[in-house]
Amino acid sequence: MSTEADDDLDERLQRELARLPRELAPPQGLEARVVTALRERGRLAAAHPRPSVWRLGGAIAASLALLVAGFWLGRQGGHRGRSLAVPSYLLILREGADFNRERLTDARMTSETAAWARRQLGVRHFVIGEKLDMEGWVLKSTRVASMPPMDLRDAPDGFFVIFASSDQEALALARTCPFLRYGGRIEVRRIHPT
Amino acid sequence: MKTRDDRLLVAAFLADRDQAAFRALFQRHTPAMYLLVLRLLGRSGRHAEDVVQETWIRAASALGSFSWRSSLRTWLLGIAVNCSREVLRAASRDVASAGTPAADPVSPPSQGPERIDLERAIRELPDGYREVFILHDVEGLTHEEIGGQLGIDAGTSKSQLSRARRALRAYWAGGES
Repeated sequence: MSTEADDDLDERLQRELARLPRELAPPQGLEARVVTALRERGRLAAAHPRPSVWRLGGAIAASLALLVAGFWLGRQGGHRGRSLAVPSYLLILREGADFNRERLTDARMTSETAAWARRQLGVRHFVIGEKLDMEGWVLKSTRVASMPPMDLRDAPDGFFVIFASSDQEALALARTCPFLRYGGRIEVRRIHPT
Repeated sequence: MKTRDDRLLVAAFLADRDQAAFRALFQRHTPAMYLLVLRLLGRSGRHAEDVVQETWIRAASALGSFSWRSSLRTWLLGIAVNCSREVLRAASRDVASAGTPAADPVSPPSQGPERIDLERAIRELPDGYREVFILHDVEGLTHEEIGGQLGIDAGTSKSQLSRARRALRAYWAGGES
């Protein structure tokens, strides 16, 4: 509330103002109407369809098949390139509570991080790295639920898989990531070859 | 906490035109926006849904350049104020040309006789008084902020507020006599 002089604000008015509601649920259908209007103007992407358990199961089965095939091919072909048997680490980037969004746009953060991966990690350390969508699903048993937007605070923003000769080298590489300058945090996890 | 959530949602919306993030923003801020618009429009309250829609369309276009110098809520309500004023201006032109104001079936809800009184009294205020009274006494903006929103100076805002309060007292006095 304003703290300015309120000489002519009498008691009755003050009392009634304090009781006045500040919010009112909008009419049903207004949200859908606004969403449609924004989509028609290209301001909003289509909602991601919620995947069925079967579709997710299929995707998981396909991933496992690819993993097994890759593992088998790796065994057959020997170590022509580096495999994950070389010490490798997963870097998980999270914004967390202290992240400073005032200083950058999402596009700038993505381009800075991509430039860091090219320059600092290069072919010697870089395996894969991607930004993660802010929308997702949570699976528990056979139940699939959309990830509530409020849970995104601590959701990973992106990840990198890197090669490093030791824990110290992995930490040293992570320390140079621009994501940290904005108050983000990076988890460094050793990947155990299986 | 709220601001941080707003920032996350805005970031998700800007990154991917994310519908879930937009819906969360809509659900969080529209109840306050809708009631403000209904009050600002007074007798033209039937346009409130159009104004809310237009506010979100403009906000979605401009969110990328929003600098977080104010809260997202304040920024959104500023857009809603401007959209409401456009409707009021158009309505006053229509009245001037047609001679009779359209009947308005929509008004803010009230609970209890005193609030019914105040809502009705606010609705009966002239447009300029009503805007300043709502922004200052209901929404808590300062006269400088109101001046910035409405394109008037702080002194004008103060004098209109004073007249609005006087008009409200007169309205009550008339009702009680």
